[in-house]
Amino acid sequence: MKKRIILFAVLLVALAVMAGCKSDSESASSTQLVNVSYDPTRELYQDYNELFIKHWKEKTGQDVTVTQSHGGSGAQARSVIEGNDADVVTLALEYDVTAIEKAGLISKGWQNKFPHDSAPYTSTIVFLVRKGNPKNIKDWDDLIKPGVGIITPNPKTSGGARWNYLAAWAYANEKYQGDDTQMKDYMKKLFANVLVLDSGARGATTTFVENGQGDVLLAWENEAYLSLKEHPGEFEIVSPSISVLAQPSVAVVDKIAEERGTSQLAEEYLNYLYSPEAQKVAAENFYRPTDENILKDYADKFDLNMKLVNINDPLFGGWDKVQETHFTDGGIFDQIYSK
Amino acid sequence: MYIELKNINKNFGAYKASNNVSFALPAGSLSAFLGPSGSGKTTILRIIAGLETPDSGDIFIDGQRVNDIAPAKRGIGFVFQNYALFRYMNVFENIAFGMKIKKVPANKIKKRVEELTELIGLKGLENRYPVQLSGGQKQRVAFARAIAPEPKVLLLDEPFAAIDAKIRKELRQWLKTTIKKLNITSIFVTHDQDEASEVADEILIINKGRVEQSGSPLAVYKKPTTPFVAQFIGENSLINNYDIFKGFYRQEGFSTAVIRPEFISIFKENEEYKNAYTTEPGIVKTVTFRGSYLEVIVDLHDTELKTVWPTDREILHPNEKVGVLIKKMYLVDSANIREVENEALIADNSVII
Amino acid sequence: MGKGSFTKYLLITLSSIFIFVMLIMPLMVILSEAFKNGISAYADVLSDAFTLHALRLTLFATFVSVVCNTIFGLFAAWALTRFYYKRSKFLTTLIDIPFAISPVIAGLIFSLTFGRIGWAQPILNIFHIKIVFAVTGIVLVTIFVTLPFIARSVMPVLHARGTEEEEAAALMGAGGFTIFRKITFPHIKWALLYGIILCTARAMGEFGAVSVVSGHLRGKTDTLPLLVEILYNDFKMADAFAVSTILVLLALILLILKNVVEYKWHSAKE
Repeated sequence: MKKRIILFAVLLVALAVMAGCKSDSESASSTQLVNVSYDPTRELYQDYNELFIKHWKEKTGQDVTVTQSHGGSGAQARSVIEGNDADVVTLALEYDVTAIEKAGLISKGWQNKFPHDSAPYTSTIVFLVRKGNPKNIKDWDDLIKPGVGIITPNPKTSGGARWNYLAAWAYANEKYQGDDTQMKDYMKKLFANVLVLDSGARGATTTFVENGQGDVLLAWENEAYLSLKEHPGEFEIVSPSISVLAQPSVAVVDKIAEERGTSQLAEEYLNYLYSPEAQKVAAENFYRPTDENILKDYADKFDLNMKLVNINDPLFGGWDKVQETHFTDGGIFDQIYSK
Repeated sequence: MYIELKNINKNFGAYKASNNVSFALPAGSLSAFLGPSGSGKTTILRIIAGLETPDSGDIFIDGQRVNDIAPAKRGIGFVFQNYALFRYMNVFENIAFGMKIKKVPANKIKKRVEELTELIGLKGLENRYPVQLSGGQKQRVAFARAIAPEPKVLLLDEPFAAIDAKIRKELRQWLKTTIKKLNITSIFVTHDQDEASEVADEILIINKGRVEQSGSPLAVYKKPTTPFVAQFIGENSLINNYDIFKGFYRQEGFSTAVIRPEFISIFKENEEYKNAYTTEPGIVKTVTFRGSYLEVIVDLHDTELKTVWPTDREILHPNEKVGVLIKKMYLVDSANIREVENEALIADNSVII
Repeated sequence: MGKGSFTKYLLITLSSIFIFVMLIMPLMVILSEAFKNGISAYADVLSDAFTLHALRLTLFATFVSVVCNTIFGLFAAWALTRFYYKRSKFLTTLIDIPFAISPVIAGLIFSLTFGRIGWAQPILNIFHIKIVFAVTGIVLVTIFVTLPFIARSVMPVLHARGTEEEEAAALMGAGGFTIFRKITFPHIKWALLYGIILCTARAMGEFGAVSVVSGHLRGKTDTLPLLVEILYNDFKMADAFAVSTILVLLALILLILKNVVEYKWHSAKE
C-alpha cells in the first residue's frame, strides 16, 4: 500500500514537471515574443504581427513567433505582475502599465522610451446612433435633451466608462467655462438620461446593439467601427465636438525581456509600431495612428476636427487625480448620480 | 496441543476485550467459545486468525508461534457470521478463490470444488450467485470456501446466528458430522448453549474477556466452577434468601443460590413419594409448553422456582397444590461456588436406610 | 379527483415551461446564432488553428484531471472508509472544499501561491518550473475544482458495503490489488463511472479558475470556454456561438453516457 502511494505521488509530480517543462522550454526559446494586450486589439495585432514577422526576418534573418494574450486591461496587468511572462505589454491605460512598473518589472521612465508618450495609436470616445439618426444627435448638448436614451457602462466598474464620463466632463468644462456647479448639473442631466448602466463596455454594447435599447451609445471609436462592420447599415457614428484622447500605452517588460534575452526583439517590436506600414494597419483597424501623415490619409474615417483632451491636461491632472476627484466613494460621480 | 493461547490481552481503547486468556486445544478437536454478547469470544477468535493483534501474549498453531505471521499464512479457514460471500462471484468462484490465490492448477481446483459442492450438497448450483441462494445454502458455501484451501484450523464466527431455527438444527448436525469427517481442528463461537452442547467436544465459557471454565459440555453443566458458569448454563432460578428452604442453611460469604430445574422435584398431591419429611408444600403458578417439555413455575415460601415436567405425565394446573423437593443447589458469591445438598434429605435418607 | 388532476397538469406545465426557457431555448439560440453567417463560416471557425488548439487543451486538461482524481478519489475513499481515523470526518469535509470555494478564488489561490509573487516562487525558480500562466497551471486548477466528484461518488458505496468480504479475501491470502480488482471494484464500478462523468463535465466547462491562471495566451493557454469569451469580447458573436456548439456537443455526449450509466447502475442494484 505504501509503495503505491509513493508511486502515485511520484507520478503526479512527474506529470506536473513534464507539463511545466514543456511550456517552459517553449518560452525559453529566444525567438518567441509574448505580447500581453487588452481586449479589442485582437485583429489589430493579428495583422500587425504578420507584418512584424516579415520585417524582423528581413532585418535579422531570424524567424520569430508572436504569442498574443487578450483580456481586460487591468486583469492583464495583474496577470503579468503575478507571473504571466510578457515580453511587451500593449494595454489600454497608462495606469495599468504603471502598475506593472510599480511591481518592479518595468523600468522607470518608460513613457518616454517611445514617441508620443509611448502610445503608437490613440482612440477617442464617439457616439454610436441608429441609422438615420432619428433623434438628430450631433453633440454633447443633444444628449441631455428629454427623451434621449443614453447607454453607457458604469464608471465605477468599467475602465472604458471612465473615458466616457471624462469626455462629457471635458465638454461641460468648455461650455460652462469651468463653472463647477453648472458642470455638475450638466453631468447630472446626462446620467439621468442613461437608460441602462451596464457593468462593462461589452455589456453596454450588447444592450445597445443586440437588445436595441437606447438612442445613443457612448463608445470607443474603434469599437463603434467594429459594430458598424458587424451590423452593416444599422448604425451611424457621430463624432462630437470635443472628446478625450485615449492613449493606450505600450512598454517593454524589461525584467522579463532581460531574463528571456528578448530585449532587442521586444524594443524593435514596439518601435516598428510607429512605422508607416504599421500605422496604416492601426488605421485599418480603426485606431487613430499617431503619425500625422498617415492620419491625414484617413480623414474620412476619423473626424480630425474633434478637440481631444489629454488625461494629463490640467483639467484632469492625470489618472490619480481623476480617480480621487471623480470616482472614489463620495467623489463627483457619486454626487451627480443617484440610483 | 494444536492450538494454544498464552496470556493473551487485548484492549480497545479503555475497554478490555481479552483479559489474560490462556487455553490449549488438541488436534482434530471441535471446540466452542460460549458466552453472552460482548463477552469477547469473537475477539479471541479473530486474534487466532490474525484479524486482530493482541497487546500481549502468544499464539501457537501446530507448535509454531504465529504472532508475527500474516493471517493468510497461518493456514486458517474462517467462516464469517454473515457469510461474507463474494457477491460478484458465483458459487464455484467463491469456493475456488482461496486456491486460485495459491495458484493451484486449474484442473485441481475444478476437482476439489466439485468434491466440495458434493460434500455440502449443493451440486448443480455452482453457477448461482450468492444473492440467489437461501441462508442455509450460503452458509454451506461459506463453509466450503473456508475449507477448500485445506486449512490447518477452521474458525467459525456464530455460524448459525442468521439462520432459521428449523434449518439451524439440521445444519448443526451436518456441520458436526462434516468437520469430524474432515478431521480439521475447529473452533466456533456461539451464544447458544444448546448449540455448544450439541456440537462441541469441549466448551470454553467466556465472560468479560476471561475464560471462566473449559471442559466437556456435560462437565461444564454438572460441575460449574465459577458463579458465572453456574448461572449462565441452564434455565436456573437465582435465590438470595435460600435458607428459607427446608434443609438449607445460610452460609457465610455466599449471597445467592443457583438452583437448576432438575434439582427440584415436584409431586402431585395424590402421588406417593419417598421423602415426605423433606418435601414442602407449594403451589403451581404457571405452566408453559416448551415444545418437548413443560416449564413449571412453583411458588414455595413466596419464592418462585423454575422446574420441568414431562409432557407424558398427567398435566399440572396453575394453583394446584404440589409437593416441592429441592435436592441441592449451588451457592455462589462473586468469585466462589459451592455445591450443597439438602441436609434434611440426607438425614431423611439415612433414616430410611 | 378533478382537483388532483389539475394540480398534476399545472405542475407539469410549469416544469415544462421552466425547462423550455432555461434549457431548450438557450440551446436553440446557440445553434441558430452559430450558423447565422452560414455553414462555411461555421466550418472556418471550427477548423481555425486557435480553435483546434483550444479543443486539444480542454481535452488534455480534462483527461489529466479525470485520471488524477480517479486515482486520488479511489485512494481517499478507500482510506477514509476502511481505516478508522479520529479525523476521518474532518478529512472527508476537507475533500469538499473545492465545492465550497468559488472557482475564481481557487484560481487566485493558485496564482498567488505559484505565481511570480507567490510563496513557491523561489523553489520554482530554481527548477525553472512554470506553473501558472502555463498549461500546468490550467491542469492543476482543473484538478482542484473537480477533486471531490469521484471520491464523493465512491465513498457512500464503499461505506455501505462493509469490510467483511475484503477481510475474507485477505485471510485467504489475496493481495491488496487483487482484493481491489476482484471484490471492491465490481461493487463500486457504476459509482466510479458516474463520478468520472461528473468530473469530466465539470472539467470541460471550467471557466473561472482557469481564466485567472491561464494568461490567455492564444494558441497556448486558451481552453474552449476561454476562447468563447475572447470571441465574445471581440464582437464576434457568431464565432463565439460556433465554438460553443463544440462544448454543447461534448456536453450532450456526456449527458447520454450519464443516463446510460445511471440506468445500468439501478438495474445492477436489483
